[in-house]
Amino acid sequence: MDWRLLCILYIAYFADVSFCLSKVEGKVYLPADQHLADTRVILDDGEYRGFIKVDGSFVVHNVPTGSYVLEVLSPTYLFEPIRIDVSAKGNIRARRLNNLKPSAVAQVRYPLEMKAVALAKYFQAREKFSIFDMLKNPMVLMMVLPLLVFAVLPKLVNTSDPEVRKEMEESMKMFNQNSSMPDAAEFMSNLFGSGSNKQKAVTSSKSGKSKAKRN
Amino acid sequence: MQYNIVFTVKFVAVFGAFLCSFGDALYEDQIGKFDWKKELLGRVEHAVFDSSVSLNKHGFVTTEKGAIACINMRTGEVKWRRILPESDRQITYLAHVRDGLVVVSTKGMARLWDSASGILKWEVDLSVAAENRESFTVIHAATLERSYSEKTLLVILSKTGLHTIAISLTKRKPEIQSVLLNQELTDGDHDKIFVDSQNGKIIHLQLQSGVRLEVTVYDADNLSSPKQVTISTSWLDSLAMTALLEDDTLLYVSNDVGAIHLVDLENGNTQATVPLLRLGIKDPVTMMSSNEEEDVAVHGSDVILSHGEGQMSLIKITGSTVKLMQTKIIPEVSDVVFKQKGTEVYAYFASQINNVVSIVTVNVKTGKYNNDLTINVTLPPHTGTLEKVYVNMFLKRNTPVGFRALLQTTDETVFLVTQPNRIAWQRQEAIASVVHATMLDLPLSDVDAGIEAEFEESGKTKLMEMFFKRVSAQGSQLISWFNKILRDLKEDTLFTHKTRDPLIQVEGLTRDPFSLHKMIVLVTKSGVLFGMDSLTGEIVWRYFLSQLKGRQLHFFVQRTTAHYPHPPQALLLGLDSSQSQPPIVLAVNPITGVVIDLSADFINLESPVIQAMPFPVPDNHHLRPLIMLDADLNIHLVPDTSDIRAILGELNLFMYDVNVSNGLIRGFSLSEKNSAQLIWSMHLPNTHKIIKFSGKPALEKVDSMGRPLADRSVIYKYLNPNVIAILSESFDDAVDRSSLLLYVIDAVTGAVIHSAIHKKASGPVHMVHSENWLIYSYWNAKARRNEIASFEFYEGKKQFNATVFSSFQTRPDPIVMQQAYIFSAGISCIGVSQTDKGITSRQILFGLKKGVLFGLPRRFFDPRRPLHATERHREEGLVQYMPEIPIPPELYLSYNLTVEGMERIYTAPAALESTSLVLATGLDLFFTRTQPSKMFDVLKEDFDHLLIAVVLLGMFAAALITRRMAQVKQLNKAWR
Repeated sequence: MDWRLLCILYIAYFADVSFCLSKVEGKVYLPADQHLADTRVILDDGEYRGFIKVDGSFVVHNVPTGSYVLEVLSPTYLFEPIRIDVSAKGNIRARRLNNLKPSAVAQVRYPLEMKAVALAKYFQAREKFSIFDMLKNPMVLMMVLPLLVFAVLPKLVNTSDPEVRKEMEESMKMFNQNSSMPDAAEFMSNLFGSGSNKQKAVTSSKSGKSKAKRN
Repeated sequence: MQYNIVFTVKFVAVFGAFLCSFGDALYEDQIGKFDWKKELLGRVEHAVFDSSVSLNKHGFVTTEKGAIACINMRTGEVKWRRILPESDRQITYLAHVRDGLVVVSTKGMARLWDSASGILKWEVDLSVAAENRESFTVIHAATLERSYSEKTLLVILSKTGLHTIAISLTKRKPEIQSVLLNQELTDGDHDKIFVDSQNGKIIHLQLQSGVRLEVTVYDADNLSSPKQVTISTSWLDSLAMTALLEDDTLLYVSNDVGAIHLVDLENGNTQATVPLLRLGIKDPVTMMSSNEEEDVAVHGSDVILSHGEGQMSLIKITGSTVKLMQTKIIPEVSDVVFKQKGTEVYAYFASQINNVVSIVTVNVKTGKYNNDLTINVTLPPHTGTLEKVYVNMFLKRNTPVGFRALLQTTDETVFLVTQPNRIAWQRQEAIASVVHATMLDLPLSDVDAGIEAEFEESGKTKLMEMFFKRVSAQGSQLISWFNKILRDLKEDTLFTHKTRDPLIQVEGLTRDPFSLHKMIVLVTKSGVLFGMDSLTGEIVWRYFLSQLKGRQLHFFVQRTTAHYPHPPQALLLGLDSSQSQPPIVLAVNPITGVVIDLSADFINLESPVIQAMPFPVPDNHHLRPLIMLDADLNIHLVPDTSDIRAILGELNLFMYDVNVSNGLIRGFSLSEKNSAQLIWSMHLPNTHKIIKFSGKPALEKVDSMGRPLADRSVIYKYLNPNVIAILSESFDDAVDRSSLLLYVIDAVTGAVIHSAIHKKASGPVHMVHSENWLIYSYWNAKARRNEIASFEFYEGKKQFNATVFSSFQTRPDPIVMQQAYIFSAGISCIGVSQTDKGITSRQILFGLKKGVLFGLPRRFFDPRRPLHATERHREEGLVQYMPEIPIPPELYLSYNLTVEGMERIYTAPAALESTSLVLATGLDLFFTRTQPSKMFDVLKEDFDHLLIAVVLLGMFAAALITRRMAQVKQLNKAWR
């Protein structure tokens, strides 16, 4: 309801066909006035342009009645785009650009004060090698955690207690009965004994892959 | 302030959501390794030299593309460049004054730029004073420079008035004076202004053709009370033969009367009439040159008249006597320039005979030719003719003066020539208006080509012969490898990388294994063809044909470099825009730049060529002939042999033609050998005009025929290669009644596959059409924003015919999926990445109007993006629908560079499947490469070889140790 009303008002605002050329004024604030020469002000994607003077002020000349987007472009900083409405009488209204809801009016101060919002980040940082990063890798986690379970857990359980020992032996027996799992060391030795070269190749390709994924 | 925070938060949130799904951004150390940018200016319209006494010599130019640039005169590099707004980019006047650079645009913006930094000092809108600001036009301008303490005055004549702007050294704001003229001026040809800096006067000449000449003299400080003199000159119809001399004497030459007239401006009386014959001038005067400065005070009293066959007469006027100083014959003079520095006045005659440009100098005061001040330079081959000469004269210690000259030729090249007879640098400004670009593979090295040649003739030779050939070929390969190693050892460059690009290992113009190094062929509007090295952007060859200027140029690659020993070949087709001239057909070797003109074969063409396309299959010389269809539906072939005609008969080809001017779309069948038959035609509604149409790229490679869905079924793509998409805009451009109409048509049968309408939308549109999808951008007039519509076409869950596609088979209508997105930046062009096998996912490339080349994975435009993403969607890799497409700087392929005035994006595959080469043309030229799915087929540059080696060795050692341990353990077990 609210926005529809605004829309109607808006159309009325621009329905007047009389023609008027206005100028849009503002000032660009750059941290320490760097890159002033590389900073550009464009209206309507370059159809109209403003040129920044040493003090940061700019004027976009000969802007006809209509609604435009004003952008400040800098190779270093990001600026917030502003919607500029020029009425048939030449009055200028500046508001926040809202592409999703074009009729929303959130006015900003005019003459414009354009302040850098953020530093433009164009590049990805190179990854540095660190042990912590490597540990976070799921492949490494998959390898390390079972190792911990195998190596550390038996130590935690007191094996000298005969009752516990008996219990464990029984459970191991059950386990062995179900699946004839070979001894881990035996398994390894068989593998390496039969074809250590082949195994090497497999390992190398695996580690290569994990490396690639990490990147 | 609060808003800023919200904005930043929103920014971060968007980034966070998307960053994981983006392809990878550039690393900072990759800058300039495989990308380059050429900063261009366009055709030069005005040029001035730095008039100050500073040592670092600069020149300033303005161009037809609205660029104002400062050029280093030693190197030809652009020091700074400013681009005027699109709405006002025509420049009337350029001058260098003490304070800086004055630029006056035709629409009345006068700006002063700091000549060192290019920062604006002030700007004045002269049209403010005018009643009708829309039609305000500046006709002439001049600078009145007075003694150092006083202000410099910029004098501007517009159609409605005379304006002066006082440029003061101390004051920031300039002072403006304006006075309206009695009547509005029609054009600039009948008006001229001169200034008299000694007396502080502004003189306005206004010619009323065949009636009278009105002279108005203004006081420079007070424009309000001018003095008017009317001279009746019934036979004067042009101001070209007039000059204003030192003591306010107007000189004009009349060929009809055959005399020189001198008129005193004070009272309008004719002082003298001197017949030309008395001065020994028999032929009509063709050109009159005097000091080009508009300042009468420095004007002097000399003019040069050119007459007859290159006869140049220097005439001196003192009071009312006219004296002939000297006549010399200089053939083919194209430009005469007067220059004054201090008391020295020289006239420079620039002439061109064939490729040799000579500038001869005459001392105006003495009338003597100065042989020391002559430059003769031979312009490189394929250069146009001399168009304009800008001379910079400077004082020297031993000889009184020296000079350098900026030459502009018709092929839009700018040369700086200096003494003695040297071309210091040249700028190829034709590249600023590229109409077509192609990236081609480079030829193989000689050794590789030898092996290729062996396969070529394998059918004819015997086994033993083949064996020896192979052994010798590989032997020569080995020798050349050794030679290379030896050479590297000698130059001590064995392990250093020789090219700028880390992935290109091969030097010179030979193909590298990844085929990343290409030859770029550029076809420009001014009729110049360039071959450019893609590694550095250097020009390898160029070709210029002046007749190509103004024609519609089309470029077709007929044979690539893959068919050794056949040379690669491309065709350039130049069609006359008015359809009255026969076409120009050039066969170009894209690698060497050797051009054979085939136009003579088509000189007798009766009707204009309306459509052209290359054969889909090559002939037995691996050449794809070009088919041209003329307006009478006759077929012309290049090359035209009976074999090719026979192939044409078998192929069953179809062609379509879209006539943008009348909205008629036609389809033809080429089943007969000599003429085409119209098989369908369709008219667009007469409320709409076609603004864009696009077929799919010819011979496009599509890797997968369908898309797996989350339920493990497959939805098959509608891969009809004959589909064209046509977008038309309503003639009515009022916001409420404007609309865009899309037709998706099968070009073989004329069947409309899909149509859509966008209400309250208008152009400009940019379109990419490929595989089974279509993406275009348009302007949503109601919401005042750019939007992107995305379409995908599917056959359904069953594939109709997996092997061959035929438009004539009756198959179910494709399933159309569509979505639209908001795109919050102005788009100047759209392209799509292209890879060798088409396996890599596509990247949509946007040339943004703000000067950014931006690449986004195509899945952001997937019309199946769900409003609420579930686990199933995520499994398919669908991103949740968000109305606005993010434009993060991480995805700028051009990173922090500004690629000004982009017009088109061209892509080419490399032999690396992950990589696509990208070239953006426009005012600037930008080349880079992109990996839409990251670089999956080559190890990254930062790949840690040491780590992997250590890990491998460690593993090996660990394996040995554990083996030993296991053996010991088993032994112990056995003993137990």
